[in-house]
Amino acid sequence: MPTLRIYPAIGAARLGNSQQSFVGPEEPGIPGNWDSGAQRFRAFRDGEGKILRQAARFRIFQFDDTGNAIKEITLADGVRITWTVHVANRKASFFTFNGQSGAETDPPYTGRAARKPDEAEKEDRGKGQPERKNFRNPAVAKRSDLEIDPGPVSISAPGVRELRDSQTPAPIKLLGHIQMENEGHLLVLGGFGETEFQGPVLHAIDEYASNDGWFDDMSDGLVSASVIFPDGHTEEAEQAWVIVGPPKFAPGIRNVVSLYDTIWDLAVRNQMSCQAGRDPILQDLVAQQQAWQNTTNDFASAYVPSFTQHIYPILSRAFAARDVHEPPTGFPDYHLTLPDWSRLSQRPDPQFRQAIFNRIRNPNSNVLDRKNMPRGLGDDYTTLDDFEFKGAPQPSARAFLSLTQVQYTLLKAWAEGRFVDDWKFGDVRFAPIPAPGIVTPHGLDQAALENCVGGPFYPGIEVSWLIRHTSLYAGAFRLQKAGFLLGPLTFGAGFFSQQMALPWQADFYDCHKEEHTEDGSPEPRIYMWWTAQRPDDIRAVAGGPYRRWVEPFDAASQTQDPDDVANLARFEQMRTRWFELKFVILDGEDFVEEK
Amino acid sequence: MTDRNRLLLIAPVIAMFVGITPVLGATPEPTITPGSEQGARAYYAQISDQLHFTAVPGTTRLDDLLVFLGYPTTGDKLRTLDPGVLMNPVQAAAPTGLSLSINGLSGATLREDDILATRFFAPKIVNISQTPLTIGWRKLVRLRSRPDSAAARAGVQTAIILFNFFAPAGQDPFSNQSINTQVMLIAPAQPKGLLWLDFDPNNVLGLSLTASFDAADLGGTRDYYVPDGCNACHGSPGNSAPPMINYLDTDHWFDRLENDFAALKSTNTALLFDAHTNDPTQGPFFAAFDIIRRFNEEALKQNSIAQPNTFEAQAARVWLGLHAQSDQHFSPVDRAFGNEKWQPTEADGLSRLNRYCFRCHGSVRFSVFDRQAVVERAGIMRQRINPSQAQIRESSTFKMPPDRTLDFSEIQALDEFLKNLK
Repeated sequence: MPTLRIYPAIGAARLGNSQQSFVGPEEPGIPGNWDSGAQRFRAFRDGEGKILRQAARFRIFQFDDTGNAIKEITLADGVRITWTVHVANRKASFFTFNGQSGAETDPPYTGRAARKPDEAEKEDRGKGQPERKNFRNPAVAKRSDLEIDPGPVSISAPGVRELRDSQTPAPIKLLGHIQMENEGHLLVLGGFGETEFQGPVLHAIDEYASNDGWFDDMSDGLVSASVIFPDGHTEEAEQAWVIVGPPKFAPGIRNVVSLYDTIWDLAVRNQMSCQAGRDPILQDLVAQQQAWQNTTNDFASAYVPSFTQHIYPILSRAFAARDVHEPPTGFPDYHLTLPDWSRLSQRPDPQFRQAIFNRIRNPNSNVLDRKNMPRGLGDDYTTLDDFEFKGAPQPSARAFLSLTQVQYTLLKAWAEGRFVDDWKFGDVRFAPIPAPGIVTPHGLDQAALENCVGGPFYPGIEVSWLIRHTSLYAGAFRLQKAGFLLGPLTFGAGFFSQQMALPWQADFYDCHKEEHTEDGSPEPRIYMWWTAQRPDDIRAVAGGPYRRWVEPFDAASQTQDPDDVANLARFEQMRTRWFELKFVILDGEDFVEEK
Repeated sequence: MTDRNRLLLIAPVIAMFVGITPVLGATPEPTITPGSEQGARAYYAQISDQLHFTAVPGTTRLDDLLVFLGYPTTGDKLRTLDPGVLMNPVQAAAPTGLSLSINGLSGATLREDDILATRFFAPKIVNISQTPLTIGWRKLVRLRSRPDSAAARAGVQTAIILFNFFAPAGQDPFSNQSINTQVMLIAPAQPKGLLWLDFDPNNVLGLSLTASFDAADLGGTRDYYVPDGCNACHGSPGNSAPPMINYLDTDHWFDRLENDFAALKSTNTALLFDAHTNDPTQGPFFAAFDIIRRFNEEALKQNSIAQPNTFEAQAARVWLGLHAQSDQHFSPVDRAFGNEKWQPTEADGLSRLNRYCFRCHGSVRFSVFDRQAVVERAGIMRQRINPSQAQIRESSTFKMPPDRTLDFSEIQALDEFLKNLK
């Protein structure tokens, strides 16, 4: 019997301070707001210079029993569609964010839920790391007063509705809008990047993730649809989810571990159900599930990855980091072994591949590896912080970012010569952005998620580590229907955003590149967080000098050290001026700051 | 496509790009970290505070530094005097010597090993991209801080002063000015333990040395500022680790007579200049070689404190092991170190690495004499000698070597050698 499903199963909206918007990515490999005809990005700002909001567009597809999409359902089919969106912001009533604290139990947060809200969670370390309690705003007894929950909002005809909670005493009421397009698609638009403080005495933002009294207009939640067919029967489509993130300031550059990679990895290793039908990407997912060997964390040798499809995306994202992260002093050529795609895709010559693979951090290892790649900080950053400031034992291996196990295994197969040499773009900096084609259900999933961060989750940009909890999934890339309990947590509107930084600008400022050079290191160790969303350094012209992305905030500096975490003025600068920061856009073959 | 075919296809591209300003590539930049004028000024200000020695560019003279070290004499004397005279305490006070008042500081007298001096062939400083080559020579003077000197009070144990000379093959280089005079101050108690100064031909403190490390890519010499430019080749890229003294590799000097410096070989000039002969069986050669040996022992001691487990220290150990009882020239294969030794069947390839890469990769990041280090990097090295268009376009510093343009046949030979390394 045909079934209806909403796609993308997880869509991504992004906030902006403009009333205007653009539709987020809908085809794999094509970034949002990309003008294929002109081969350049459209403006990310309106006529007043305000940042456009990125809308998440949802569509309904009809599937047959074998998993093949029969068609997209639109109003042109004579149906009546009622979309219902329930997003919420529960950040202020949630636990404080403290790395992996809460992840040690399954269900998560079980231990912390048993503790008092005002019990100390993290001691005062100074330098922008004040004491934090178990819960945010622990003194507020009525926790629902801290939440912004417009409840389910429906729309049944082309038009716009607000996602507004008029009842909440919280100082922010509006979380965004929903809009039904003339075809019947749904657009979900997030907030405007608003923040407000509520309390008797203003408390300056003094920490990257948890600041009592503060509220923002981020959100996430469920998207559902019912369709009344011309014959009068009604069908409910499989539910989807919308997440809302900050603007992606480097829209053509992806993180080396995207959210798509993270969920793909979960789907492969946990054999999540997947009706591939004729979708070649999902067929590949099924093939990987069949080849995956949990005992060895490897694929059976019968599985042969493609250079273009599997390897190039990982390597090219690492290479693209050069456009948003200045090479460390003395190491101007970092990642320059990568743009040699013709040789890297040649099977008979393993040296090039092995030289690169040997520099990849092994995600299966519990041995601390500071040296290898990605040169990124990880989920368990707290242990690095404890090591450096408290003299704790060695940091956890997870203090640094690793590729997903599947990504690593694909690279391993490539290094060993087990791959298809299907590279056809020659000696280029990057493969060209593909021309638009047909929008497919899974293509919508991929396009949405490959532009989101899949790690590190400290806490992250769009979602945090709760997204990896496998019990949340009904199948590959699709979350369970909301409404159930996961230990002390309710899986419902606001579930993912509640873990995120409050206000969002605090972490968005703080997570710039960091130096953690250990004693005796032969080179400086500079690590990134999420340079593809929040650049570290940018250039005005290709090959030109770098400048720090947040340099405009330096005028407010209280110290000479631009990375001084005690410099609280910078949090405030980001909170009030984030929309002045530059996008990094493609100009020819290079990503440079918008003019 | 095979590698060979690829090489053939992109040969015109290589010819177009390698060694000249790339038309479509990145703006040429030095591969060796050049540092900056601002950084050098800040550095001198910092070490002035550290050492209580006024290091003012354009003002401070080498003579001032010598006073600081407890040797009230002139830089010119240090430059021009024969090493035998410099090292003889008896001649130190003489007007024909350093004119030192050897009892001038709390009665301390010049000791037997307070001064070590030697002159030698220095292929490392030669602009190898020029034709004909102008031969580089160095005079090294190592001074121990005199006991009651301001330097000793500041924790400076020794100073190593390197005069750099150039002359055509067959001509006496040491009658010329020193183009740059580099100074290392070894001060284990100070942060980093090793400090840099550089003096110009007039013995006045400068900010940088002029060198040819990137001569092919940049079309000539350029300035490399203290401390970054110095640290880059002394075990501290990015200034992250304590810098190290580089040992003097006599064997490498003799290797190079067989390729780039055949003209020098034909003049029969002594590479250990004070030996007046290249015959290791002759007495003067023993004496000159022993000075090098003593210096290398000191270099290894410093290395062993600064970064004991580095390839630089290992290379110094190998040299000292080979030359503990022998002044002979050892072949590159004999000088291999690390877990896997180079084999005689690999001599040709190693010879190319020694010729083209050792200038930097004897002291930067890895040594070509460490076979395992080369094997691990073979793929990347092949990219470096034969970069893709995207790599050329991205960075002018990616291509190796930066100091000369390799013949296509040599690129092929190196590529083939590296490709087959296991």
